[in-house]
Amino acid sequence: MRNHRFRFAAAMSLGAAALLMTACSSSGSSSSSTTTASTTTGTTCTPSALDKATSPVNINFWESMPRANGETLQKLTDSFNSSQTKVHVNLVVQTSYADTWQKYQAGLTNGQLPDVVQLQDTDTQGAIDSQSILPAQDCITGFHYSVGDLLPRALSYWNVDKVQVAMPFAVSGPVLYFNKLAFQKAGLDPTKPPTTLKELVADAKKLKSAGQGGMGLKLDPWYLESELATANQLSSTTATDAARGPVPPCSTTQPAHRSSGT
Amino acid sequence: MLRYILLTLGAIVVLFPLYMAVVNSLLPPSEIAQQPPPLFPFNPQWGSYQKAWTEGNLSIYLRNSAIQTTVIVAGQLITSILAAYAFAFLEFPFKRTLFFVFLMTLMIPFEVTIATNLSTVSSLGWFNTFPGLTIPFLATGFGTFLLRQAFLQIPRDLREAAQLDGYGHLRFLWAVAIPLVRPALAALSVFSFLGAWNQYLWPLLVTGNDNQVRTVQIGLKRLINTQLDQINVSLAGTIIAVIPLLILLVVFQKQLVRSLTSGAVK
Repeated sequence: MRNHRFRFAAAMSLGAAALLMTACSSSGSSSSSTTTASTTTGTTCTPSALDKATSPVNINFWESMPRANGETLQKLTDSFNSSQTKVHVNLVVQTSYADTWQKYQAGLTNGQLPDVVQLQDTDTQGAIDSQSILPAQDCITGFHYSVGDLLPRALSYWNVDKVQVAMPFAVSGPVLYFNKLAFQKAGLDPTKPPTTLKELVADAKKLKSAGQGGMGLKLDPWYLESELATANQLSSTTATDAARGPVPPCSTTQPAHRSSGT
Repeated sequence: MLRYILLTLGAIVVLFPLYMAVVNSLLPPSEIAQQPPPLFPFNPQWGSYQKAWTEGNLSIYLRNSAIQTTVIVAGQLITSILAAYAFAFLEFPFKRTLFFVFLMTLMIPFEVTIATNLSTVSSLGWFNTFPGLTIPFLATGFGTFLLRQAFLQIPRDLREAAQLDGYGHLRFLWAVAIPLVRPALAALSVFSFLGAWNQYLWPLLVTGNDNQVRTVQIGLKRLINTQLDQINVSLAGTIIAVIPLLILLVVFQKQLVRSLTSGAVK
């Protein structure tokens, strides 16, 4: 028993007004209508659809942006809402990305779904499989929206089978902090931090033997995946495997999969 | 002597995390990650409690949690008393089968029935309302079981004497049986209160787009997510949410122990 709510391109207008921020998430349009599947022809999400809808169109946007990101999003939303009268975006703050996904899945059974939802990249395929989302491609085509000012790599991450499933929104990038003082004490040059994974490991070993700690890794799948993606080691093919050489299982002396880091 | 030493050590081990939570909630964020960790806040920042209260909307969430928990506890008490009385003192067909069915409900994990419960509750129009939060939990197999055991302790002679005096079932229940099983009632109340207060998954799924019925557990998770590195504020929020439970623990200590060990005896 589903509620039929048709919310369209207003989501894309919000996307046009929003800036890219720096958290780890993506944003997809979701509508709980049953005409879903992947319409990429730009038929559902069009300016004429917005004109036909009774204004103001209310959009529930499930998000879980922490701290300053959340405040920024609120400011952007407020300025968007006050700049026009056709669409009103209602920010619904959820507890966390993981909980948002749980709520979304629960919402599939009772029709209580949001209009726009911010999901983690790891939930992309799940969202596609739920057959309840309207791909952003539909709005991009319908509104002739130019995605030229977005980073190609960010766009491609949510592009499945040439369809832009979701728009990158608040995409995070892991950063490396290094302690300049510790570098000096270990005899390393603080103005030349490591730029490749190989150098990172070598410097960490030097730091450790100088009693300055070493390298702290957060063993979170996202961090590992991002670091590997940055090093272009994300997907394994025969070519990359061959280039990598025989990789020993995790041992104390040699970190696995980093021996051929570029 | 040795017993006291061991108990004190045990108490320190158990209470230390709670103590550190209070300490950390009063430290400025820069001092929390210090090594070695400070064991006493010499410069207590009471502002973190203020911040947790206002930014976390804790007043609304605590109110919602209080309403939800009270309704669930009251409901569970009423239904358990009535069902337990029926199983203890009344004879009716399929009594044994029914009791078995009650026990079976204890063996099904709650998570198994969540999707169907959610669909049922939503189609009844109770999504994001207090009935949606409370009605699925108004009856409990555990409560029935516990109180039936307690009612069975009442000597047969007392029942027969009451019958001679012309007491019907309801009057006997109200005037004689309930006062006699008061410890078990208190134990059940405490157990229900803890269970209802600490619920997370169901309130998460049933509450919707606003703060109307969100409970304090969800509010805490939101606070932690929005405060991220401000660990002192997150901890302050957690302490505020735990205070009702601590008060309950101190006041009803005996009943709590009894309820936790009730399954073990007889």
